Amino acid sequence: MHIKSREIIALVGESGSGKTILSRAIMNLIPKPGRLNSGAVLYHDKNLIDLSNEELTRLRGNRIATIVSNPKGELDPLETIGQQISNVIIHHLRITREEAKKKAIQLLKDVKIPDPERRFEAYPHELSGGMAQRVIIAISLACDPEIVISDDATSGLDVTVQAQVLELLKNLVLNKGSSLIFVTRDLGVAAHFADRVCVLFNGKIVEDKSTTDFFKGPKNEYAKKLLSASKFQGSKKVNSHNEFSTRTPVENKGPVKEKLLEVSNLVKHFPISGSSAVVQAVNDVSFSLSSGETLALVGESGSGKTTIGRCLLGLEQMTSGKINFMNKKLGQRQSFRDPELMGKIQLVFQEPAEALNPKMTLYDIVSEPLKNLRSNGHNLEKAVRESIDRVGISESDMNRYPNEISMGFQQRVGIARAIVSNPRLIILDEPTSALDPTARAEIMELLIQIQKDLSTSYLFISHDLSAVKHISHKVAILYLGKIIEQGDADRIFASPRHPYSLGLLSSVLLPSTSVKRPTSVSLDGEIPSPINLPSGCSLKSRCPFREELCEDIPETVHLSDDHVVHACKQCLTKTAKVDIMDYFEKFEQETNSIQ
Amino acid sequence: MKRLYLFLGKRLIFVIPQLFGITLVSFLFLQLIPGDPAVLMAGPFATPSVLENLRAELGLDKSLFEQFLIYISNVLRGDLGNSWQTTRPVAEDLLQRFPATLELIVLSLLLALAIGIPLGRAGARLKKGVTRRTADYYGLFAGALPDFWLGLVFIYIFYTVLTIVPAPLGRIDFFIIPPPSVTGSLLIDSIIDLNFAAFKNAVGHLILPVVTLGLINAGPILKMTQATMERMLDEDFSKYGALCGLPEKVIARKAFRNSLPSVITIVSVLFGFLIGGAVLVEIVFSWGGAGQYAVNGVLNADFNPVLGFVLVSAVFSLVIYLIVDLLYFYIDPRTT
Repeated sequence: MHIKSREIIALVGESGSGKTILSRAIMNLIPKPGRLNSGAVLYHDKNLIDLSNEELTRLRGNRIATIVSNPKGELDPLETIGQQISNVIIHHLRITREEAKKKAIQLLKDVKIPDPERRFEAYPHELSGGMAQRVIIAISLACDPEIVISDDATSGLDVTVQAQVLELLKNLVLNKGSSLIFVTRDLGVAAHFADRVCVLFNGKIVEDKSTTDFFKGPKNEYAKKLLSASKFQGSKKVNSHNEFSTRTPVENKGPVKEKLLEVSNLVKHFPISGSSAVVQAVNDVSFSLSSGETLALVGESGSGKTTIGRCLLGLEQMTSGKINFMNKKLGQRQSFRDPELMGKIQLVFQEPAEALNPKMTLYDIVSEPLKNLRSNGHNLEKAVRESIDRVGISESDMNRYPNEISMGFQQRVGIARAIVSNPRLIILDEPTSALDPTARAEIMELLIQIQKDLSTSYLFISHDLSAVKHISHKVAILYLGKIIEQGDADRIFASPRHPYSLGLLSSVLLPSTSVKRPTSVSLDGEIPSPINLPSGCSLKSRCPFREELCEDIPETVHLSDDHVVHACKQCLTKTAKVDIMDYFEKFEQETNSIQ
Repeated sequence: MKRLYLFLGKRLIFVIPQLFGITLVSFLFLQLIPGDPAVLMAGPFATPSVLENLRAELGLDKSLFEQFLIYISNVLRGDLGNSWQTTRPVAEDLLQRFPATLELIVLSLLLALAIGIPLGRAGARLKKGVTRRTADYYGLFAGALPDFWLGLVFIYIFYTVLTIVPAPLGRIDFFIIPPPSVTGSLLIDSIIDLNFAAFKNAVGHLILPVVTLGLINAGPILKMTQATMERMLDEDFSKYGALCGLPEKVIARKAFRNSLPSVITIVSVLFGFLIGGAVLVEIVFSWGGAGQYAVNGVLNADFNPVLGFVLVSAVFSLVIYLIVDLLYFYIDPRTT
């Protein structure tokens, strides 16, 4: 592998491909007990492997800097961020504390942290994830390095913040004339930010091409597979209209669907102990869902989407509101609920490894929900075998333990556990966000197949918008506990009308170089705290269309039968003129044409 | 600053109920000790009427509840009752004996810190080598050796064989005139009095018990420092420090700072434990400390010294925990 100055390359690979080890090897910092056996790392014709530890220490963070993921864990919790930036500057540049402070504040300004003088004194726990990531970037750029390595730097951030941070990073690095290596599993990052793509598989670089050539069509089999998985070139979602008209023949035209779930005016507030303030997690949310249909709840972290799922399950008690499920009213708590409804709503978790008891075999894990429902032994075993078979796990693996199988298979077990009680509704809480692209594509395909076979409904909670587009029939976009736009999925992806929806959709990094990302409607900043909601329009501080004094009060507008938006009139007239949302459509056309 | 006052206020509110609870519980538990104080005081040949009178005098004929109320109201006036063994007020006895114990354990813990922390730090930074092995074996031996035994070995070596330390009989030789008591600590008092003969003699008496307790208690401090610091060196922020090219020394300092809360915790626990737990070493060196006093009270159904000891130790422990909380607060900006 090689990198020229001012070049940006993406080192793409899935977990276990060796991409992080490779990026650490550059600076001879391989985690123990590993060590470098042979080879050379040439930097300006000097072999870094041969350098002494002192010489390397002088290069690290100075000429070659690394940006890491999990920004909050990477910062020392007991020191102010200012001190931490200054420390690195002082050690490498040998300047006084005063000068270092000046430089650090300038760096904080460069990475667009508001109020840098005050933030200089802040501790890491006082920062959001996005802010902490900016601090890490500031540290990495402190000594004007020649090479910056970004090791999965933005994988933990929301899409909107991810786009902002990557854009910022690219501009800063190019301005300083440095080179940049993105280590990532996300081909979207590669497509939008890199000049060249290197694909790693089993510790080997299997493809090394310019970005445009790579996205036109890679040669290597694995690289091909990775690209098509990232684009979800698999089976399509159940077309609700056609499927249902064949399954339930009715006289009148058009589909008649059985209404399964109806949520009206759901409110959930969390009181803050020791103060009268409340966290307004969910604020007057209404939606409905029919059998065999998928509704996606979309939004940044802190928008309340997970809380809604937990209220439906009875894991949280709603503050007020009404939930009707299978024509029965759902009580606040699980224990108040109709026993017939037990097991009819199930959940699939985000982190597959943490959701499975490591001390139980796969068979025991999957059979557990049924034990609660007191079904008899014979039926139990049959049901468990059926659902394990359905998710594609072979029977011989039933007695293994969760740590013996890959993450994608762990998530399959999670799904088998959810479908074993024959539920009508499954709440999928970010089921794919922890997974690698190929596993993610497989899980999505599995979910679609299960919906085809069992006509289960899904509530798909996610901020992975390309996955949402792939699986859902209806979309509800949440912002600060409110649904600001909801309706038919295709319609919303084609022409979103709320300024926030525009911003959110435009921040998705689709894995393609031929469609240009509409950056003009990008969102600024981060989601405000749900404790003190801004008065009036909640998007006021971030809106891409805002003018100086935007005091308009948003109202609910029915744009059509299946498209409702909650925004101010002025914004709606502005968004109607925006004609850039062919982003997703073009991408889909391109994907289909390749197929 | 406001954060500090709020924090202190929250802690202090709980001190009064804590002290009350400790007094009540220890008062009730003491009733479980077999033996009638009146019989022990009056001797085996006392007539029933004498015993009756003695019980009335001691208030033992009243109900338990009344006895407790009387005790509590006396305590509030600063009266901890009398000990029938020493025939002196318990408050006076404790005032004499607690400083002896505190002087011993404070010095011992300082020594333990001076041994445990550098060894622990070195052990955590080095994965192999002589220092690492020394640290590992030290922790093992310190945990396995009983302190009174080590004390006896030291007495044999340094007093009996080498005769370089004074006899293990109390805090100062009886032919030396002790300085007037100001703080209760012989070292500090003799400095105030400019009595260097007394200072030298007191140091001589302190050396063996302090070394005994210090060596033993360095073990847990070492283990805790090493284990926590190893974990901190494994944390992401330490690895990130290496990626940023910070020298190993700086990274180790950061990791140590992050492990301080655990070290402080173990020191405070050791301190609270040693107020009573140093008693075996106190007996070996005839120290005349508070622990010895309380144990004699328990063995002879002399309740007031025991209750007094429990109460004063509780106050000390609460003060220590308050100081620990303040240290946490100072070290960790996340504390509220």
